[in-house]
Amino acid sequence: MTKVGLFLCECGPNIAEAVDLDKVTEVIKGDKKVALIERHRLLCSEDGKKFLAESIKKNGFERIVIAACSPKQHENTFMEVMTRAGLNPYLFQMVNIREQCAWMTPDKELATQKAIRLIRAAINRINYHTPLKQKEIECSPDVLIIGAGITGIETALRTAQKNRNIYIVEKNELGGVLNRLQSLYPGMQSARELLQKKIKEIKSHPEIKVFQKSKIKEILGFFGNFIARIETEDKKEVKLNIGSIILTIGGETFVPAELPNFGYKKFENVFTADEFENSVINKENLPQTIAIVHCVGREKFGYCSKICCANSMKLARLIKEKSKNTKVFQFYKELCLPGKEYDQFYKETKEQGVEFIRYKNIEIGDHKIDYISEDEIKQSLSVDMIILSTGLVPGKDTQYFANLLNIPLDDYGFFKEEHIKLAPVSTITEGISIAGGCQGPQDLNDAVIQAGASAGRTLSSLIPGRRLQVEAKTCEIADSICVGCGVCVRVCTYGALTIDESKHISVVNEVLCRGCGNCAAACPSGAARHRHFTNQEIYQEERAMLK
Amino acid sequence: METKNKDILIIGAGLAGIEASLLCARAGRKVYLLEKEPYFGGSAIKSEEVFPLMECATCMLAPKQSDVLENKNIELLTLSELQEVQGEAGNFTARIKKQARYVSLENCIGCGACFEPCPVEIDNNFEEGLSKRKAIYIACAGALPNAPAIDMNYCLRKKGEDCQACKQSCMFDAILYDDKDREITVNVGAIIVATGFKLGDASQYTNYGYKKFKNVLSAFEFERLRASNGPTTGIIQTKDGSPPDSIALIHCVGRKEKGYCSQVCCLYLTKFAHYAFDKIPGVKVYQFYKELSIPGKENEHFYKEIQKKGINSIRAENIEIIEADSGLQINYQNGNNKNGSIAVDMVVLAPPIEPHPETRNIARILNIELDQFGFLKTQPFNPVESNRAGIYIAGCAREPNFMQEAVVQAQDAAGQALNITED
Amino acid sequence: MKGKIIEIKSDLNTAIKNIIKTLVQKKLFDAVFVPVRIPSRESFAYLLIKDKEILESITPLPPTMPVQGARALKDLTRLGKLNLRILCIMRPCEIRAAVELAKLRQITLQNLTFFSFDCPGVFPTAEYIKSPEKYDQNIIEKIKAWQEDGLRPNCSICVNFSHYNTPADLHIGFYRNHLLIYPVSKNSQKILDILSYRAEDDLTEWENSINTLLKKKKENRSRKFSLLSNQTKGIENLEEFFTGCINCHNCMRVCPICYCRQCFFESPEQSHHEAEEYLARAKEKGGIRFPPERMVFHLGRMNHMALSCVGCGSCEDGCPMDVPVGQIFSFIGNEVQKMFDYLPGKNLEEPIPLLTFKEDELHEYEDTREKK
Repeated sequence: MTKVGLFLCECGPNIAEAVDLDKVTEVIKGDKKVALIERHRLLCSEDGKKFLAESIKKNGFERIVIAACSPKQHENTFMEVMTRAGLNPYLFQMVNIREQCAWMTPDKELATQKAIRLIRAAINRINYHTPLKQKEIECSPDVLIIGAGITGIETALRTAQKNRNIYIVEKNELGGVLNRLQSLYPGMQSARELLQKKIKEIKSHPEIKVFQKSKIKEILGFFGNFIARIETEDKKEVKLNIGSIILTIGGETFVPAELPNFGYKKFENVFTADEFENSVINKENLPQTIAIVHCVGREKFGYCSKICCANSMKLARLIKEKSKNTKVFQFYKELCLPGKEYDQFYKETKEQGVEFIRYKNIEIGDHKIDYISEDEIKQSLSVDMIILSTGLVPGKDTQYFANLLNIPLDDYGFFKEEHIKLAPVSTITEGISIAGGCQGPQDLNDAVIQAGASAGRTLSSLIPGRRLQVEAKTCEIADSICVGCGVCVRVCTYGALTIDESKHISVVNEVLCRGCGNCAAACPSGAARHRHFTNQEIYQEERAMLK
Repeated sequence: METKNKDILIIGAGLAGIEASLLCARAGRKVYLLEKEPYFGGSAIKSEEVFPLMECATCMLAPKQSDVLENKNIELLTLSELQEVQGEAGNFTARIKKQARYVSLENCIGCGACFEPCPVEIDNNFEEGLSKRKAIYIACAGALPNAPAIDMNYCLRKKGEDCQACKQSCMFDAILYDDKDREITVNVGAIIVATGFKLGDASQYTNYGYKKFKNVLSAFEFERLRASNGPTTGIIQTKDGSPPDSIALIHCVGRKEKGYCSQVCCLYLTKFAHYAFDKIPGVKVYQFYKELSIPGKENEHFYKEIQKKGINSIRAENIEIIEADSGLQINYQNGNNKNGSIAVDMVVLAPPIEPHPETRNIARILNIELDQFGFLKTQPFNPVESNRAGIYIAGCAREPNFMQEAVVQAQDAAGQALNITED
Repeated sequence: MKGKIIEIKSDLNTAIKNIIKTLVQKKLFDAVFVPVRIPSRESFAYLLIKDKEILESITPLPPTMPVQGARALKDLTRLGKLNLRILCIMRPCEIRAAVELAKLRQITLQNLTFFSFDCPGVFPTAEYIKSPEKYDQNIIEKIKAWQEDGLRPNCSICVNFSHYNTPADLHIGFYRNHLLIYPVSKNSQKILDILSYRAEDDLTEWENSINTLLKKKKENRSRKFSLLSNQTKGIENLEEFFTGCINCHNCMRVCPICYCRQCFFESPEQSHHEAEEYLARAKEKGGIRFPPERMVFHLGRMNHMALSCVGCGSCEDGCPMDVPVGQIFSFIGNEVQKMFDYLPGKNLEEPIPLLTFKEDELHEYEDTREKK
């Protein structure tokens, strides 16, 4: 029989006063599965850890149960002691008799009974533990960046280092949306100059390889070891080995063709903001009156795109620069000018004689705008030209890459982030990051920061010359039982499971698996199994607990 | 060529500082994470829930905090302040003053047995003064590191008395009366500043009656009222202890005076409306706003939900709050320049997000620029880089931000810090 | 509702057979998957037929169902890569089971065409074997009269016996000595073209007759379900309900939905314990029944497949002890499926509820803690 050692920690008075540890000892002593019960005043202290290590060696324990505080607090502490004492740290079970007994149950008798049950459960379980090993795998530090708009270019520049190759693939010309812009708000710098400078930088960077007018055909593999197949401009196929992927495919501006009240493509001289800045402003003599209408499409796609208010003001200033006497009206619903720079920008725009009119409902006609103001008064204004300030929506390729990389989209069709607050540039698949307009509507500053963030995550997780540590408590599939129904594949949160089509069974990728156990719970035949929470372990634990 | 120092100093252990530390540490770098307070987690841990998904804030932060505490590459220095920095990118020398905690982090297990016997009682500033604490204290239940500190400004021993109440109650020899302030010098290759924000003092905008009328609250006061680890264990109540029948949320307090939009207020007030509707059956909620700013893909849906729950939104200027017989009265001018007046039991103000008071001092020590508002200035097209190579800014130290923006800025700053310290 | 009405000149099976023969002759299909009477004459088996001669002997409408068609089809298509165009003539419950199995990657629907028909129900296999002739004659009458006595118990409470909720390509109805062809999928147009039929006849009368029958069956079903609900309340009643079970696991073996290579409840880990373990359990409970895990098997299997149960009753047909297992599974299946507004096999695109996650659902089953 394996030699199991049980350690009871008094946690000073915390456990000792609220749980009758003498009684616990007395009751558990009868259990043949326990070789020896040890007790210490504070097992996590330096003295306690020494005591634990020495006791393991002296008594030749093969497995350890420790009844103390929450595993969140000191599980790692004790696992380290075990490792130093020459034991596999997974042959260990921690019982929480502090937070779950001493601090929860005021009645000492009841707290003691509960502690006994929990300890028994751990003892019954521990014999079914198997030693697990922390594995390491080789990985590539190289990075594939998909999309060479300003976000992609910036990501490449930030990720490029000695000993790390960066591949950036763009299906069109480099530069994305910046090619269509005149200037950038609020500083009114030239967009073209910035872009030319950045393009020059990536083209001349020794560690960055640029693929223009190229397509991503296929991506296989996982964090640390992806293989991408690319069709280049001259129709050649290139295979790249990379460790991580950053999606910077951008978004698009909304085209209001399906919203009849905005008169787009119905009346002449109605343009989108994008069309206006890209071409109209260059070609013509600007007319006497121009109206810029905000929030176009917001109701349809269901969010505020953040950029349109400030961008509309920028357009007003470009108009004023070119044609000082043109009268500019801004038709807006709510002014969204978040951050420290824009109230000033707004004030200056107003000072240039731009008029701001709040509307509730709007109908665009031939050279005129009918609108209802917030106090429900119907009004009308004749104008020579109308610019529709449209919001940002996901790009057309978003779905393609979501399918290619098996990552989800959110309710609006953007790539879904791992967590909207805490992990905005990560996806659920480790090694695949997102940045810029494909993650959500955002301005240039946001996009540049997200570029830096996805670069930062890559630089921190894939280091040239270092191997990847792989989680030990993962799941596995028993080939002989698996019938390939794919239930596990679909419930896996981390994309760690795939179907091997040749064998008709599913396989676990241990690099991606984080051991959540969804698959083990969902598999009807027990082919999917969690290495540290086997049915047997759980069953034995529960049985002893409920006895 | 001289080899660069690979270690990284991060000032401020709020959400941004934590995120940056974890990234740098994952890359194998030694990180010094400086925190002025005895606890870390910053402003984020004051919230009960965060918009738009109404997730528990402390639950979101706790795993990251325990990663910091367990990470061998991260040295968390609480009660510590930067004194002086010399050198340049790749080779900075920073002098840090570490105040005495008077409690041993090695011995203390955080049982809290020492609070009860301490005879000194003072306002708990973490709780916005809504509850009391002792001279030996933790900020709130669940604060990390899980160990108290003695506030020597109030401890009787400072006054010469030989009080030993805490020491006598401690079973673990964790109380160190002879603990001393220490000075530490660290060498690092890069510095990230994440000193965060402070909520502006609403009493300087006198028309709102803050500090004058008892049921006019500032945003964090309301947040702590809703916090399940806060002074009322999450029960929203007026100063006389009854639930308010009506609450008014006031947007844009001080925006005009400050000259910028603080970005987060519209959405946290929306969250407050959710709190009120969810916790107080039948409550009437009013909001007084000027412009509604709810940018981002998930937020409009979140806002529409409080419209469904029945919030009364009033576009208003010239707000004045006075005390009336039945409670508080809000006089205002609406969007169409008509005067109005509404009586409520409680008013919650959204004052401006301002740079943390320490920011100016840090800027001086680091020799980096401030902007006109007192935030740390960053570069065009590199919004986390300061004007000095090797020094980066993340989070609300640079501008009012959403949590997710603080996180990406931290990741960006970490990436640049890692990059600049490569040989 | 429009379709094609054809008068039956000989008998039903022959009428259907003629249609199939035409389709094969005109090379719309490479093979037919259909029941055929086995040579000893007392039972039927699914056959994959390429030979036109054998087509003569098919029985598209057998009076009994010794093998659930989906189970048979699984063996044929599990590994996919089906290049043959196959026509499958199956009962509605068999087609639904097939689609359900397709969602679970056990059947490949590619190149398969399904004909369903108004199912009069089947006779219990064990009964049929005793006197096939009697039932062969009887089934024709049953179809004419839609009587229910003597049928599989599940058949008499089946509410999806016609074209409703069945994703076939083409449905064949019966009404007053007429055969009705009702095109369901887009695919069916090609079939009608080849047969030179136009779907222009009015099917209202047939539809009315189906609806009348449906109403009756729904009443039968709710009566049966409320009876079952009372019979199985509490663990004692449930034990009583399964009392005849001899642990042969036939119900699992004949079930079309039970697709596991090895049933979890037959895995060594689950069902083989050391004697010491059993002794310990016996000590705790005063005694334990052998073979052990009988109730665990039924409840566990129910847990695994209730969401996908099509209520065909094959399990009960296969039970040597006449345990009403098909009825209880149909009852529980219906309850669980209602919960998720899901009908197994109705629509290939509709994911099995287990595989989707919705944050906002099932609040009525939550406990009374503070709600958001």
